[in-house]
Amino acid sequence: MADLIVTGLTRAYGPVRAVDDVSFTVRDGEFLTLLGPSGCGKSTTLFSIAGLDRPTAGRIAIGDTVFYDSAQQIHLPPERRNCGLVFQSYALWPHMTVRANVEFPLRLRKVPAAQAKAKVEWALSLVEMQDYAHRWPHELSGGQQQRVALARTLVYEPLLLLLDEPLSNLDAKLRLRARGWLRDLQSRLKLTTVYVTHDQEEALALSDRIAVMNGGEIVQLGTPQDIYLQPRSAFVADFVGHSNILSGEAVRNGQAGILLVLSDRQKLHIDTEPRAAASNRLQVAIRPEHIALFTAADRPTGENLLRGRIVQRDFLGAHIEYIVEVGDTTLRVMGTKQISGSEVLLELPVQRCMPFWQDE
Amino acid sequence: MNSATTPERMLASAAGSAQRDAAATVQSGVAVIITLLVIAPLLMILYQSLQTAALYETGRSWTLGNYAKLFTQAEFFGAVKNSLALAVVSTSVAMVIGVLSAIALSRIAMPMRNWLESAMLAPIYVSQLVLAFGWYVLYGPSGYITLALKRWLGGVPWDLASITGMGVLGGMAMAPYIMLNCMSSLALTDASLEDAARSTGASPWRVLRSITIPLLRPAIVYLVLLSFVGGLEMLSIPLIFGWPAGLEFFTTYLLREGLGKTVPDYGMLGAAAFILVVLVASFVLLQRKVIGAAQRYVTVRGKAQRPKLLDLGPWRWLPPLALALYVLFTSILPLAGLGLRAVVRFLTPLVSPWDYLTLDHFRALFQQEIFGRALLNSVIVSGVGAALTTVLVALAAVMIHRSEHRFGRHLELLVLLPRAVPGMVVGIGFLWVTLWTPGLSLLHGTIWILIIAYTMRGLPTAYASITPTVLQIGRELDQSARVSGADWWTTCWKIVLPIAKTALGASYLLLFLSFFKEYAAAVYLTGAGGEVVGTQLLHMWAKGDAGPVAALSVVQLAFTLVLAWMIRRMGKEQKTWLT
Repeated sequence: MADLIVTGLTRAYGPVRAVDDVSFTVRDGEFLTLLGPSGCGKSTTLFSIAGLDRPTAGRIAIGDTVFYDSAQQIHLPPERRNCGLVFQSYALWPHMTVRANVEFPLRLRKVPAAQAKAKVEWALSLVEMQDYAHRWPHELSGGQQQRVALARTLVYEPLLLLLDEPLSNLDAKLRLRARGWLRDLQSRLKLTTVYVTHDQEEALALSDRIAVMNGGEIVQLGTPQDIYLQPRSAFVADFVGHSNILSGEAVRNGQAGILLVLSDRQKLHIDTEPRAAASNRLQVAIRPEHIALFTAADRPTGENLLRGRIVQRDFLGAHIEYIVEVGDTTLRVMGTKQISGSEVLLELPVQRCMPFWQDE
Repeated sequence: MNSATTPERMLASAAGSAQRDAAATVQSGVAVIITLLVIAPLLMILYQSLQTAALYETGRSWTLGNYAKLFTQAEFFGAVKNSLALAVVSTSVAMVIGVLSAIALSRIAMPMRNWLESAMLAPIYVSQLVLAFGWYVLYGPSGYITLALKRWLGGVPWDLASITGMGVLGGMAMAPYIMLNCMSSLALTDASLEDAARSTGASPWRVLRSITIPLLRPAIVYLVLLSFVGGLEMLSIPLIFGWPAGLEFFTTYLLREGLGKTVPDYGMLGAAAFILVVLVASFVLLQRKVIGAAQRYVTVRGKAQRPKLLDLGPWRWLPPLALALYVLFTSILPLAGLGLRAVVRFLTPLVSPWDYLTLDHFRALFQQEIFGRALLNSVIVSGVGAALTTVLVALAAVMIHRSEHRFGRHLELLVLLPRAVPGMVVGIGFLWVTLWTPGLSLLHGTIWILIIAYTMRGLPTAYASITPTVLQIGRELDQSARVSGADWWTTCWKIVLPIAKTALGASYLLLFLSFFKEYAAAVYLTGAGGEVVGTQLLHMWAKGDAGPVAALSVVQLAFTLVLAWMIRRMGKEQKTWLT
């Protein structure tokens, strides 16, 4: 099989561009996730690949097969793309049994009966649903429906596996199990996969690479480690890992980096080079688990200490989440120790502060 | 995996292109058939109205003279005026009865609520013609109750041969439709809106006045227009009560001009028919404007949160009693009277009916070859017509809502257009289509032209009953079929239509029922050998055979009640299937 190449994909609804000049490549056998908030264009991109949505411009091709090309006026109907799409709602046909659902794509392809029977068995056993072949969709739990939906797309060995938030309708525990099992299945079958989700944990756990989307554009494309450790913008830092964002004015701090001056005149050392551009507005992202909390009695000695006030504390079992006000910014902090009183000192280690210059 | 995929894909592609052509053929076929069905009779009426002589004659020419002649005719204006007056009275009556009973049944706690609701709705399933016969037998100038009251009290407070009297009857005939629509609209309004008003301190009556009724306002405006159109195109009541009294209405005028004369003036008939279409269509357009696109499909569905029912305390028996009396006097007694009329020689308060019991009317009916033929023809026309219409509209609905066909939206307008064409005008239109089109004269007077005309009449009904289900079927269900390799046609055939099959069955029965009781469209189209029950009823009524008319009405009623029972059962099944 070959790589899926999406070039300059654009989908406009009147003046609004739901997808704006998006390009990416999914290598043969790779698991790529489109991650972003709702309305970022990830589902439109997926549906364009499947052929259910007709883009305004661009090109989608896999190997020699051109799915869509605005220049050549090519738009292959969905049934001729040989993709497999699993919907969020699973979309099992309610008037067909599990077996009939899985068999349907084979009957469309006129696969001989004996061969079809074997393939249905194979697909159902992949998802461990062979005992449910005679059941009706409404007799299955959500997790079972999801597995049948997957079997139905795997049975005809599609060129591409497309998944539209397939885990979001499952409860938390089941989602975790389904995740491991999906990853295992994908790596076993080496299927080229495009996965759409708004759940950063899912994206990090499953993907070979992640494309973070916002406002119809890909804002960062990289491995899960890249995305998490080296976000390229405050948006990515916030979306993947729920970072806190502090913004203020940057001033030169002698030879070593710069100082971020917050609205209440408190200062933070930031390890970055000053820049010559007109704007000196700087945003700093830092993850909740990287901030340490101290009371005055602890006499902390770190260099980046800010005064703050706890306005809310939520006991979450393994840890405590504190909401702390620093000037006019609200920060989320994960702590393990109980802190009484509201006046606290926050330590924001320099190496954990991720700076992003703001353009006017 | 690689080796398996390629040949399969090629196979799928090859089959795909052939099937895509099939899909395109089906789509174009459906579009062409519907266009011809809807447009041809209307064009023919317009064409005839602009011709100097009948369409089957030679040496015709274009003219506006027919319209000029019509507008100088006093009786035409009289008929139009009477029709408008009838529409105004019947609309007022229908609205008062329909809205009040809907509010009572949906918001007031009362015993036997379900039973009363079914009884109030029952006339929907009965032919308006049969209902009118029933009323005539009891309340007509020589009706049983009229005569009895005259004997005891010296007179009756009503005159059903007046426009007001007919308007009241017309209103009662249309009230169940108003009630049904109001009730579904009440069921769809969020009950928490009323609860919120209660919790802010409003009394139940205040809630009714300030929340419930104002929320019903859009529905009421829409229904006023609906019943006004119904009043304009009403045929049964003007024919049975107005004709003997010499009152002429738009519809009876069309009937007399076309069938009552030895040499009908087809040009003028065409002009009059076309004016009626324009009149009705303008009200239907107004109605569409009022209601907007989204609320076109009024569906009855049960809501989980039912509004709290108002308890009237010591007065709780009053609304159910009023409803029960209404049902008794407007449906049960008239239909029972009609049934009685069918088995007695005379029906008058002067003599006991038991002394004149007879089965002669039925015997006379069954001895006539024409009766058996009419019944058989009715069953064939309804059975075949309902099947054709259901298939045609199912394909059209899927095309309109589940394809990117460029004529989809236009097709929807066409499918709904027959709503604006009164039944008799449909008949006139198709009569002229068969007369004018070479080769089609073979259809003239046969049941096949009836099937065609009924199919056209049934399009909006079928569309309204199939569309909500098609819209309820999640888009992912057909999208996933498309992605897994099915083309549009296969997706319709294997996924969408099978899931909608209960709705298709319900639509079939509904159409069967309405075709079985249809008479207005058949008046102009039946010929010897092609009689149906509806036209046979009218024919016998015109001859003055009240007994056999009652007997035939009873036969038709029995048929329709069985069908109605089946429809209600399917309705319940469908609800469980979709939830």
